Amino acid sequence: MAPPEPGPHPATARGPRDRCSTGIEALDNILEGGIPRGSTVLVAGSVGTGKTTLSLEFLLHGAERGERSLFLSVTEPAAKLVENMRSFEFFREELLGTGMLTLVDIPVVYERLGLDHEEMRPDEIRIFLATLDAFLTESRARRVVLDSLTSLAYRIQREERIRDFMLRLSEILTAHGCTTLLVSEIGPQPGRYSLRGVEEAIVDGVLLLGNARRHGDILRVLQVIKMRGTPHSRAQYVVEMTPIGLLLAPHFQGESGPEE
Amino acid sequence: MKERPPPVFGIPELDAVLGPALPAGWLGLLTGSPGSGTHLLAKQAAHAAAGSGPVLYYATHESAAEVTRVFESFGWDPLPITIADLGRELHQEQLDRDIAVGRARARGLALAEAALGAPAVPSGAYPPSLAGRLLTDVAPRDAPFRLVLDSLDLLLERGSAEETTRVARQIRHQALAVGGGALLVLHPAVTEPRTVALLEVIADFVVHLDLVEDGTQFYPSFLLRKVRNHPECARRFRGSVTGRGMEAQF
Repeated sequence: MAPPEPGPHPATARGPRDRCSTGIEALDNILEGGIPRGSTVLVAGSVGTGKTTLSLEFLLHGAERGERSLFLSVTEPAAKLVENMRSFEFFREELLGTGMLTLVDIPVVYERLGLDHEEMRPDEIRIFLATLDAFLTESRARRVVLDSLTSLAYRIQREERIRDFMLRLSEILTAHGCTTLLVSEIGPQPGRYSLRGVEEAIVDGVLLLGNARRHGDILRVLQVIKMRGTPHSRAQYVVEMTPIGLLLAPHFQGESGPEE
Repeated sequence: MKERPPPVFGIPELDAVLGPALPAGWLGLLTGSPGSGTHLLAKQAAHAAAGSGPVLYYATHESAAEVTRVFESFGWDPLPITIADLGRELHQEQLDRDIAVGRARARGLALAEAALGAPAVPSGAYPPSLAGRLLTDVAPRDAPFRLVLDSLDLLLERGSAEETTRVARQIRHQALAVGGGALLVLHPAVTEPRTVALLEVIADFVVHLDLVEDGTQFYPSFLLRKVRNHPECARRFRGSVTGRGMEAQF
């Protein structure tokens, strides 16, 4: 296995900010080497735009380089996720047994902790966050994906509680030095990247995945909307989903129809 | 010669009014205030039918052992009665889960308990249906039976008012079809008035028990407040409890 990527804790980092390579070369180039370490980034997009695949590629890329990685699956059973990942060359199943890659079924957490009802109360939100904190301690994860934040936010419902949840989650992730992708399922309406709109205000970055029409086809596109500490382009890129992972190419706007 | 149906309560004064007025299959509603003797009268109604066919006694507030002990304390043989402790059946699973959740919260969840490959969680998501349980027991009956459910509270708590009245109608339908009777106990103080009223409409008779103060003494008072098609049967009885069970005088 390759040696671990050097990764100073964000709180102790000095000089130019260390970058966390996503494994998607073109995206790393846009981000001047990757996501700033310790950042929490929203990966927003409508259904089928590649949010989960991008997140998994980010996680697998880290795990393969010796960074412990944790996938918190809210919407899809972890076993089904593994089945879906087998079609990608970047997926190495043996990482699951080494502790480098851990997939967690959040519905099991709900069930075991008695949080499996429609709306979580404030004390239950605290229990849930304390559990995530403990998981991060135990796993020593440096890369985390939560798929999806939207499903979780539906169980919190109230905007002020979602804000408190996001702030506390962000504190926990920062304290553990995690670089995190939070998957956000959104509709096709422009200008909003999360269920309530409060989530994107708290995160460090927003990657927007969407659809665009070209010659009657629907293309996947990606845009970096926000990335703190990184001067970046906000240009749209066409995303190709291939067996080796996501490939990005510039999107020539003149050829496109309205975004979906 | 056609066999006479068993008495409803085993209280001659009350049975003498009810017996001739009821159809061969009936549904009765026993309501009462706390402490007035509804649980005891429910058991007496089960005992009254012992030996005449299958008798099913469903307890929701007492264990089968407690029910048996009360039977024996009045000299009633519990053996012919099938006693089901629905409270234990339904609450045990919930209790087990609550304990597991309490422990998991106290000690914290280990990653391995929720990670891929973790052992399956015993599911509390689909608790057994009380309505389904009752109807499964009653539906195959093809001969007169006696059913006593003490009480409907659990059905109302676990299901809905609509489900409860539907079950009451189905039990009555089965009793009408094959003969026998079903007595459902209801506590009006903890039930929506509309649900109480609807159950009273469905029932062939309604007996309400109260505890009446008489100086320093208390005695149960029976109000036979409805007998279908026989409004003249409505009346009040003064009750008492002896070593043989509940008794009544008109």
